[in-house]
Amino acid sequence: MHAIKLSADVAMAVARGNRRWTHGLIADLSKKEDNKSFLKCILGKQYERLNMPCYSSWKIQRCKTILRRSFRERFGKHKPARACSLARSMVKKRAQVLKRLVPGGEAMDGYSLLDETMDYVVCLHAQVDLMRQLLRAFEASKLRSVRHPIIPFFVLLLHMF
Amino acid sequence: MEPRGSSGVGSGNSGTYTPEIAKSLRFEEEIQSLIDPSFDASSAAGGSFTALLGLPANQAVELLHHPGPGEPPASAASSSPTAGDLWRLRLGEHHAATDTLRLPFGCSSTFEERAARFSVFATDDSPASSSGGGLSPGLKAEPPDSDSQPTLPAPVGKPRRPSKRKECEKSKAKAVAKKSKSAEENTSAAKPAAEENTSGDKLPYVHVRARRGQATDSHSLAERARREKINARMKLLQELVPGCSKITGTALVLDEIINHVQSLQRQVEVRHLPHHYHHSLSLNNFLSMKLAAVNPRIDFSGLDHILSAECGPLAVDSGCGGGASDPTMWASDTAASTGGIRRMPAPPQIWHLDLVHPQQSSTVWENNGAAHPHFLLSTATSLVGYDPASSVILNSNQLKTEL
Repeated sequence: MHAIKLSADVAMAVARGNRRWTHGLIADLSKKEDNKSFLKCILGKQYERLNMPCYSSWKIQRCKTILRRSFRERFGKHKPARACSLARSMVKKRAQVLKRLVPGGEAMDGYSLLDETMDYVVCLHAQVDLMRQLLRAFEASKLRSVRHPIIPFFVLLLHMF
Repeated sequence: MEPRGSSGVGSGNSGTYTPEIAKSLRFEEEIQSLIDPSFDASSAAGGSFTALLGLPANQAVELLHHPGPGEPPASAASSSPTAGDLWRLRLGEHHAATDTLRLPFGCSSTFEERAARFSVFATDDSPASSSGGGLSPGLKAEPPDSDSQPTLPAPVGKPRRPSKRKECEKSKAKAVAKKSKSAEENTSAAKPAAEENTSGDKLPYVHVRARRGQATDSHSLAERARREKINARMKLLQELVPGCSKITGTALVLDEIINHVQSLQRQVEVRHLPHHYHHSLSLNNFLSMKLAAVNPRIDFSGLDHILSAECGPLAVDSGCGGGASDPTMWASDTAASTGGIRRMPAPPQIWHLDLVHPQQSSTVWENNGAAHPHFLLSTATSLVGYDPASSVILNSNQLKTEL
């Protein structure tokens, strides 16, 4: 099941506090109905608050797209083959991909996107490292003791974060 | 300085909150004490949990400086729970350029000394400082902005932590951060773009001096400031992602970043493959499968009705402080028990006891651990180890809240 991933993600989001990607992550996670009750229990009152901000940012993105399209129609294309415009389009494409990768990234402008990406990468690093350490510890303890060392996984993760 | 011996955890008092970087890998031991209630760690049982909180601080520092997949050297067994706060605070400030520098300076000078002393940080400090020094003049607007802001999210993020200690941390962090920034100003190369940073308050304007031969138009100035900010962030990201420093060109760097994020996500994702894969352990890199193999009994089936049954009566008892910690336990505990509805009455009793006496010390932890060995022996492991573990965790939470 995706229980481990879910718990790890929620732990990470909760620990990191109020960043835009955490809001996006929680919103994505709560899209599935099964996770909603879990999230609600953990977050408590914060759940409603955390779910709100995403909607306004979607509106901002839509307005930007509308503006951009109207400008393009007005001015047409001038010199589409210039080098810098080529570079810009390349960067734009990659920015699009990055927006899809980072949770909640669609609604961010380029600058805050880089910001959130940095934060997200740091947290991902921490997550991966934590899991590696946990694995190692679990395996070591398995070797050592006969009794099963069993601990609710999510709580463990929350402790780590 | 004093050797980082086993006394680390004992130093987790309220007074000292210098996160100490341990050279010896005590992390495994701490996890052992978490996992094994009867594990005789050298430190107090309750202290091991606080020690674990220290780990993220050093891990984050390590990650920020040396994001390679090598082992994090830190096993901050010694830290107090405020190290966890410190980590979060530091992460909050990280998005400014000088953060990579501020982290080694930490919230006290001793942190910096230790960071300089240990080789891991010493080698990584130089590239970070060289790039940070170049960046810092251009981004003076950011640190004051980020300084005031993350301090706000930090208390919101973890309501369990005592607020007093956080404020002390914040004030000290700000003071040291300001000191470090002024040191950088003196030592960094003289770039025309500079800004006053006297009080550390939010500065609404970025004062950028126009360079020779460039337009002084307000628009172009703003554009240039924007571009410089974006470039600074890109440089930071380059440092973060391994192997990006050699690449020139925004698009390629972004490519690398995307690849890196995808690989990280895949690592975390594949880690959570269903547990029937654990029989084929041929794929070594996939941590998720290994974790699933180790913990095969985590299952969220039937979570809904169990949660609704549990959250009702117990939500009344727990205060808002314990409310954050307890639901996590209920959720995970109910998740862990793959159908032990009949076992539900037993754990709630334990929880009620602990909730009534929130001031229990680690002795209760050990008592509870000793009181339920028969549970472990009697029934299947998946449902069994659950009870002492849950009481263990609950006690640890209590300890954390009171700390």
